[in-house]
This record gives sequence, structure tokens and C-alpha cells, in this order.
Amino acid sequence: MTVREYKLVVLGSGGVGKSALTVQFVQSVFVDRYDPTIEDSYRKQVEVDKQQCMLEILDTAGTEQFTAMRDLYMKTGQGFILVFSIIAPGTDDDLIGLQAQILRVKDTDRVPIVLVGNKCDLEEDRRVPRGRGESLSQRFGAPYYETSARTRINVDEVFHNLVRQINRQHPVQDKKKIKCKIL
Amino acid sequence: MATRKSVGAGAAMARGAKDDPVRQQLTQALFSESSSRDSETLLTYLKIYEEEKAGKDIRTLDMKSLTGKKGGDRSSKILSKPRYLCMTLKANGKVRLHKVKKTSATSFHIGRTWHLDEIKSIENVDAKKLTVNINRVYNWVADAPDVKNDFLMMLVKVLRSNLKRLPTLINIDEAGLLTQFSNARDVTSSPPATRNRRAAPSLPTAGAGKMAAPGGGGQGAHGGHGGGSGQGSFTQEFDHRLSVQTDRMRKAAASDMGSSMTIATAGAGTSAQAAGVGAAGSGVTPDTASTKTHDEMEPLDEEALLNLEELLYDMDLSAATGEEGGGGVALETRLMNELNSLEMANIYAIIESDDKIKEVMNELDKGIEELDDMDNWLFMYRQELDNMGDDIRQIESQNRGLQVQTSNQASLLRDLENLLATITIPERVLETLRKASLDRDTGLRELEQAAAEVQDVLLSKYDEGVAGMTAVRGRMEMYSYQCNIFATRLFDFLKTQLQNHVEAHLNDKQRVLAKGFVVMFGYEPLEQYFAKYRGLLVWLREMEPRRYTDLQMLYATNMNRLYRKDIKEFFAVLSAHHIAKLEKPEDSEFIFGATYHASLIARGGSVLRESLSSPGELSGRIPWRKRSTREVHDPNSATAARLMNSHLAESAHKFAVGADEKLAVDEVFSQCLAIMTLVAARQQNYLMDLFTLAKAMSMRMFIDDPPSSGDWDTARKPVLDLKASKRLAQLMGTLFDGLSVEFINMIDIGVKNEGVQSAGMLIAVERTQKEYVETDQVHINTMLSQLHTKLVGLFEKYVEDQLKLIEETKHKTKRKGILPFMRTFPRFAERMESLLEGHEEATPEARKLVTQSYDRIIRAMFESTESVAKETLDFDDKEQGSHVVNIENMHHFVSELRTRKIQGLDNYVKYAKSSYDRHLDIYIHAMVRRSVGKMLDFFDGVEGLVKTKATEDVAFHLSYNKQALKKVISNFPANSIRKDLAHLYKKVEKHFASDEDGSLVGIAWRGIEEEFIRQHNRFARLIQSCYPDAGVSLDFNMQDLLAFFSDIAKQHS
Repeated sequence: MTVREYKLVVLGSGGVGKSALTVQFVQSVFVDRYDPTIEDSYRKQVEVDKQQCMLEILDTAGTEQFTAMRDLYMKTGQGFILVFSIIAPGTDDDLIGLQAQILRVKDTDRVPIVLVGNKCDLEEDRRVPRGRGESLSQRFGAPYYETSARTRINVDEVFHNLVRQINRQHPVQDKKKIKCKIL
Repeated sequence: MATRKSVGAGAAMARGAKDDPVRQQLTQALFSESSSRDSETLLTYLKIYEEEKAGKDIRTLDMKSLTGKKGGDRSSKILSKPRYLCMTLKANGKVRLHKVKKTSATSFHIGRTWHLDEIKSIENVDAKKLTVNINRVYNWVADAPDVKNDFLMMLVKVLRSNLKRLPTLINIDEAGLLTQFSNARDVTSSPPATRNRRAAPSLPTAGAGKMAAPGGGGQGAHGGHGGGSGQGSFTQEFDHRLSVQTDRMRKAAASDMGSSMTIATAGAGTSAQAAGVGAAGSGVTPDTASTKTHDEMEPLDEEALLNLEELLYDMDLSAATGEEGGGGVALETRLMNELNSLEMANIYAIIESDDKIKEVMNELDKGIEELDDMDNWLFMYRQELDNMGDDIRQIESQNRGLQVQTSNQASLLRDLENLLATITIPERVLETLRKASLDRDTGLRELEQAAAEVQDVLLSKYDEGVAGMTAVRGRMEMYSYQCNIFATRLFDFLKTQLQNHVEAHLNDKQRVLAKGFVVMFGYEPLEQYFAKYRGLLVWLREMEPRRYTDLQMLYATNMNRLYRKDIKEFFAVLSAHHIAKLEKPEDSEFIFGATYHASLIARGGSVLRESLSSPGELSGRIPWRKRSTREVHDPNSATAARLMNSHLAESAHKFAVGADEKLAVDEVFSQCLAIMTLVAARQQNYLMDLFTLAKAMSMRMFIDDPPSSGDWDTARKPVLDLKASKRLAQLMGTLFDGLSVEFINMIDIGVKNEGVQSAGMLIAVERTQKEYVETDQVHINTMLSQLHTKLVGLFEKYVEDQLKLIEETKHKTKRKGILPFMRTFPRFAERMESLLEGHEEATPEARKLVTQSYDRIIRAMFESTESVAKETLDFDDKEQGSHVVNIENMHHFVSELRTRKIQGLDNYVKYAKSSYDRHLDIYIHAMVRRSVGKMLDFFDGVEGLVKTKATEDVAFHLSYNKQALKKVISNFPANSIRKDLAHLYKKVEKHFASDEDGSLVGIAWRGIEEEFIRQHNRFARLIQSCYPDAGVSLDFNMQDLLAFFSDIAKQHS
């Protein structure tokens, strides 16, 4: 049985925890220091809905100076994880532009997206109310999760949900259909 | 009783007298027809007392004190609220009921208004009491039963005429009401009698009552008579009243004319009637009704009643004492007397008291004035006190507020001071950050402390309020700015230092490699120098992660210049001077198709040849055999390095090679690999420590507990997370970007020169991989696996090439002797084994690969040998030739590999041996048949017959009779056998001419000898058994035969 490949892209402002989220998912380790990413990609095989999936996760640069490649990976990515930090106001607003850019690059209004409010273990420092996330979620038409890369809350759920969304949008092609080309 | 009666009578009289005014008042106050358009006309009214459920707040008339003597059940009833129940006719003909309350002497107020149809039920409870259910139940008690009945009858009539459906009438007998009136008129004889009898004693009382009233005694008597006379005209009055009332209703409905007149008449009528009713009521219910009437008379005017009672009390006393007959006169007299005396006393009192009163009044006035003054003073004083009290309270509350404020301010001050203390960084600290030297150790320590302090302040968490304060924000900004400046200073400084150091090393003339001096120098001084800045780098990572990352890249790119140069030089010198090269690649002794042979070795050749051909020498050359562990710090070279750079303690990895020595590529490769991986591993460990990648910590943590500087030469276990290890691998990739290129170049050079080198290099790579597999050296592992993949491919290509060469041998013209690949293979196998020897566990993949290659090559060789043998053209007898080729090659294979004892090849050796045995056997048989073929045929036939027939019968067979036997034997005389054998030997010798050691000739000849002896024995046995009596025997006996062979052996020994 062949393993289907999924190209997932993690987007968001600088320091919201994209890498931490990704590394936590891939390696189950929390990266506790801040080290601005330029671009990293990770591969991990997971089972979603009893189906083996090879996830190729592109961890992108949140900081403005590294954003030149965005169009490129938006073109190649199949699903997007939009991350903001619940303790950093403004990181949620940044996602609006990113989402618009994705839709523009993809030239469609149905792109698999998951909205993520990270750092939910820091509830006492919360500056972005949950309602804000939910309203963004409605606006994007994307599910909203509050995650914690530190305590591994909802991390798997985010990635699995995205895989399911991609599956729904592009169901696995039936092999029979391809074979029917024989004349 | 008498008292009550007199009261009742008096009250009735009073009411009778007041009747008109009430009605008038009501009309005037509420129902004046001209007052408004929707005015109403009063039809009739009934004075009632509304019976309430016992409520304490309802003021009630204390009937007990009045009715004390009678007492009884009634006293428990609590009655109050005199009201007037008015029935009115509206202009539109609607009749309504109003409950009216008297608010003052002349004004009235309508409490409630009901339409007739709202009445649910009317119950006539007893003589004076009625219960009406209008929305709720009202218990009303009228003054007198007849008044009530009168009203009730009116009400019922009106109801009948106005409503379709009557309310429930309970205990109301309309007919009875009517008859009651007619009875009252008709029956005048007996009831008045009883009434009179009863009322008689009260008459004077009533008179007295009247007398007490302002009207005087005479009037009272008249009133009493009036009451009596009123009884007579009762019925008339009633009829008249009815007619008046109906008349009024009609009139009211039609117009409002003549109302005043009607009222006047009605008033007059009613007054008369009221008196009559009072009498009639007492007549109808003699026992209770009369008393009741008195009891419930006038609760309104309490004072009047009390006065009256007092007076009556006096009267009563006198009445009780007086006689019935003459009592009146006596009383009158007495009263007159009393009156006179009173009058006199009164006048006297007035005259007497006049002056004194004045005086007293004056005094009293004075006293009052004084008291007023005092009162005023007291009032004022009180006011003053109140004011003062207010002031005091105000001051007290202000005081409390002030206290709270003071304590708040004090704690605020404390908090602010604390805050300020926590967020203030002494100027000297900032000064240190700005000015302290980065170059000196003391300055560095100061800087570390200062940086830690600033970081503590900047990174500590403040709650939102504090963090939002302008002062705090301002300070934070200021400190951030200072940090930024310092970060820039640090960054620039380290950048410059780095570049300087690298330049210095690049220009170091002493680091020049030469033939025989191939060294990879270490950079300990540089490493030590930058390791001093570990703390500040930790700080930089927390404060300015971008600069920190930039610095990492900067370090990697700068060091890369050094390493790139060093590595390039290292490899260049090696390949220029120390890599042995074959003059022609075809000269390789490991090319299966080549006609390389011993003569070439005999020629002497290069060091390479020797090193490759003798296993002992080989193992000495390969570094990992020579050194049990990685003793890279060659004492000699280290000393040399130290001598060269006396001020720097630099390590150096020297390549073990003599000045003029040349080594095989795989050997050079494995040494290089060992040295370079050590250098790279050390560099990675250094990087990890320099940038403290393994642990996140603040400057403070670093100062308090500085992480130990680990052993950089020992490979470490993986500890980093994925992202960090990726970053590290990236840095390493930048640092050593030239390394894998050099290795690949070397591989290419080596393989181009001699394909078999790939195996040696592959094993070297695999061995190194094994060393690093469990470490964190991601970069090295990646590089090694790349090299591994490449080498596996190259080795497989080499094997493929060899297989092709083996295949090609078939088509070569030379088809005898030991085939070239047969000669090559044992050397190849020996080389592989010697490379693998001792490292079986480390190199399972290489072993597998080699075993596979053996398998494929041997199969190809055997196949090729068979086909070459089959088609050999180099022999006059083709069949013999094919056997000879097989025998020769298999013999070579078996004998070569047997001595080498290579594992995994046993099966092939066995196969080769059996093939060799088979072919030798066939060859020997064939050779024997060549010389004594006919005899063999004959005896074979005899033997065949013996199997089917009895031995005696053989001689009778035509072709096997005695003559035939004799003929065959005569054909092979001993002499010719001898000659044949000599000839045969020559042939055998010729067959195996290409055999180098010549052992095969002896083996074959010995086989032939044995076969001859065996056949001789067989022939002799058959002759004896089949032809026992023929007396024939072979021309040569065993002795002859052995002699022939020993002769030949002697000739060729």
C-alpha cells in the first residue's frame, strides 16, 4: 500500500510557537528557547483514520525579514496551519492577511486551514480572548483549536484535523479509474 | 336597655332630622345634575357600615363600652367605616351603584362604582345585614332593617327592570318585602301596642334626649310626639315616597327639571319615613332590632354620644328614683331648680373669677412666654448641638478617609520603591555595558554580571498594571535600548575577532603541508578564545535571538574558510604524493579478464604492489589495524606541532605516511576518514558548547552554574531536539562543505585507477559509520551514508564489470590452461577477506555485499569455464581437451581457496572438487581406453554376458569363444603395451603442459596407472572364470605392468 504524502505549511507571526508546535508534534519534545526559524521542514508518518500518511511539514519564518518565500510555499502547500499566540495581541490580526494571501495564491476559497491559538497553558497571561479566536474561525471557515506546545494539548488534533480536511477536499483517487484508460 | 333605647330613638330622630341634608349633601357633592354632561341622578341611598374582617389597623368603635350591659354575640362583630351606598341613574339610563365615603361635613368621595350587571349575588342575611357579591363579597349592615329592606326592594326592582339576568338573590323574598310594608300599615293595633308598651318608658327618655340636645326639653317632647304621629302616617308616607322615587327615576331619565323641588319633598318625606321606619323596625323585630338600631346608631359622633350618655345617666338616676305618674312634674321642678341654681352659680362664678382669671391668664401668658423662650433656647441649643454633632461626624469620617488615604499612600510608596528597586539598574551597570572591555577577562566577568542584571530586569514578569506604567515602560525601553547597543557591540566585536583570527590562521605560513608531512591542524587557541564568550552568547540568545543566529552563521562561514583551505590542502598533498597509482588501470591484479600474472609481481613493482600482495604487510598499513583505538594525537606530530607553534598549544592529526611512501587509495581514504570525522566531531561538540545549544538558560543561570566545558573529542549521545539538531547540522554543513567533495573526489580517483578499491573504502566508511551511529553527529552520519551509497554503487559496478570480463573470456582464442579469472579470484577473495577480517560485526553490509559478489563471480566463472572447456580448440582430441581445461581450472580453484580457508566458499570448493574428480575420472578412463580399447570392449562384452548367462556359457558365444579371446590377447603383446604407455605419458604431459607446478601430470598419470592395474585384474579374473580350461592368459602380467610404469616414472622424474 502506498503512503499518501501531505504537504502542510505552518504560518503565523514571529514567536507564536510554530516551531515548538511542529517539533512537539514530530518529536514530542518541547523547544523551550526561541530561535527564529528561517525555514525548516519535517517529515513524520502518522496514522489518521486508519490510513498511513506521510506528513511533510514546512515550518516557516514568522519574522518579517524572512517572508519572501511565502508565495512559493503557499503554492505548494496543501494544508495550512495558521498560528497565533493567545498572550500576544496582534498576532491574531496578522493571520487575516496571511489567510487572504493563501486564498489569492491558491485562487480558490476552499483551502484546508486550521486556526490555532497557541500557548494556552499561559492562561493567566491571556490577552486574546477565546471569543476572538472563535470569530476568526468563523471568518476563515476553519476549525479553531487552543493548543499548548509545552504541555502537548491539542497538538495531534490540529495536524490530524488538517489531514482530514485535505482528505475531504481531495479524496484518494481510485486506482481503478486510472487503469480504465486502457482502450 | 333603657339607655340604649333612648339612644336609638335619639339617633333615629337625629337621623330623621338630618336625612334631608344627607341626601342633599350627597346630591350636591356628587350628583348635582348640572355638574357635568354625564351626570347622574341619585335614586336612593343607604347608609351602611361595611363589615370588615378583623383588622387591628381599622379603627373601630368600642361598642363594648356602650353596650356593656347588653354584651353578647354582637359585640364580637367589628363594624366600622360608615359609607353611603348610592344608587344612581345616569343620563343614558344606566343605573349604577356607588360606595361613597364622607370625607368631611359636606364633602363626599366616591370610593367605588359598580354597574348593576357586576352584582353577582345579594344575600339578605338578617334584618340589618346584607351580603353583596360584587367582584368580592361585601358585608354591609344598615342602620335599620326597614331602611335596608326599602333599599333592597328598590335595588331588586331596578335590577329586574334593567338586567336580563338577575343576580343570585338569597333569602330575599320580594313578595315578603312588599307585604311587610302592607302589614306594617294594616296591622296597627297589636304591634304598636307592644311597641308602645316597650317604648313607653323610653318616651320621656327620648324627650330628655331631645332636651339635652340644643333644641331643649320641650322640643324633645315634641319630637317624641312627632315620632308617634309619624307612625300613623307611615304607609301614606311610604307610598308617597315610592311614588316620588319612581317619579324621580322617570324624571331623571327624561330631564333634570324640578329637581330641587323633588329633593325638598323627598327630604321631607324621608324625614317622616325615617322616624316611621325606626318605629316599624322595632315593631317587626321587637327583641333585637330596636337594640341593634341603637347600638349601630351613630359611631360617627363619639363625643356627642359621650356627652349625651353622661347627661342621660343623670336623667336615668332621677328617672329611676321618681314615680311613673308624678315623676314628670317632679323632674321638671327639679330640673328647673337645678337649672336655676346652675345659672346662679354660673353667674357667680363668672363674676368671681373675672379678675383672678385675668391675673392667672396674665401669669399663664407670662409663663407660656417664658416657656416659649425656654423652648426656643432649647431648640436653638439643640440645633447647635445637632450642628456640632454633624460637624463632628463629618470630621470623623474625613479623618477616617485621611487615615485610609495615608496608609494607601504609604503602601503605594512602598510598592513603588520596591518596584523601582527591582527595575532600576545602577548607572555603573549600564556604564559597564557601554564601556567595559570585551577583550580582557576581568572586563568580561564584569560584563557578564552587568548583562545578567539587565536581563533579570528585562525578562522578569510584571503584572499588567505595573508593566503599563509609563515610568516602568520608559525604563524598560531605555534598558532595551542599552541592551541593543551592547548586543551590537558584542556582535561587532566577535565578528571582528572572528575574522581576525581566521585571517591570522589563513596567513600562518607555518601551517604548510609538504610531502610526508600531511597534517590536519587543530584550532585550540581560537576555540579557547571564543569559548570565553559563551556566557555572553547565552545572553545574546535570550535578548537578541536574531543576532545570535547571525553570529552562528558568521562563525560557520568564517571557520569554513579555514577548514576549506586546510582540507583542500590536506587532500591535495595526499593525492599528489601519497596515493599510489597504477601506470595503466588495466594493470590491476583484480581485473578478472586481464592476463595479469605472477611475472608482474616478480618484477618487483611499487610499494603498492607489495602492500597489496602480502597480507601481513597489508594489515600493518591499514590504520585501524595498527591502532586499537583512535589515538589521534600522535605524540610525535603533536610535539612537532608544538615546536612549530610554540605559543599555541595546537593539536595536529598527522597522516601516517613516510616521506616517499605511497599508499593504496582505500588506505589513504580510511585514514582521511578517521582524521576528518574526528576533526568534524570535535568541531560540532565545540559548536554545541560555544553556543550552549543543549540547554536554555539565562545569563544569571550561566553565572551561577556555568555549564562545564565538555570533552570536545568524544562523540556525544544525541540530546538536542529536532530543530536544534537540524540547525547544528546546517552549521556543520556550512563549516565542512568541502569535506564530502574531497572524499568523493578521492573515491573517484581511486575507483578510476582500480575498481576494487571501492570495497576497501566501503568497509572503511561502514566502520566509521558504526562508530558514529549512536552519536549526535548528524552531519557526519549524513556524509557517511552518502559516501556509503556511492561506494556500494561503485562496488556493484566493479562486480558487474568483472562479470562481463568473465563472460568475454569465452570468446578469447586462448582456451587452455588456467583461465585468467581463475587466477584473479583467489586474490580478490583474499583481499576482501583481509579487509573484512576482524570487523565482521561492524560491517555486516559490506560482508553481505562481498558474499553476494563471490556468489555472482563464482557462478559466472564456473559457467564460463564449462563453456570454454566445451569449445576448446587447443587439443587434437576435443573431448580430452575439455576435460583437461576443467581439471586444470577446478584444481586451481580448489587448491588456491583451500589454503585460504575463506568462509562461505565451502560449497563452491566442494562443487569444484567434485567437478574436478569427475572430469579427472573421465579423462583417465578415456586415456586408458585409448591404448587398450579393443581389449576393454571385449571384456566389457564378456562381463555383460556373465550378468545374463552362466559363466560357462560365455565360451560358447560366437564372438566371445576361445578364438576370439586369443585374437584379442594377441593384439596386445607386452611390448606394444610398453610402447603405448610411453606414448600415453607424453600425451598426458602435453595435455597438462600449461599447468604451472606440473602436479596435474603426476596426478593424471597415477590415475592412469591405477586404472591399468584395475583393468588388468579384471581381465585376469574374467578369463579365469569364463575360460578356465582355455589355458589362455594376458600377454603381460602384473609385474610387467608395474615395471612399465616405473620405467616411465624413472624417465620423467
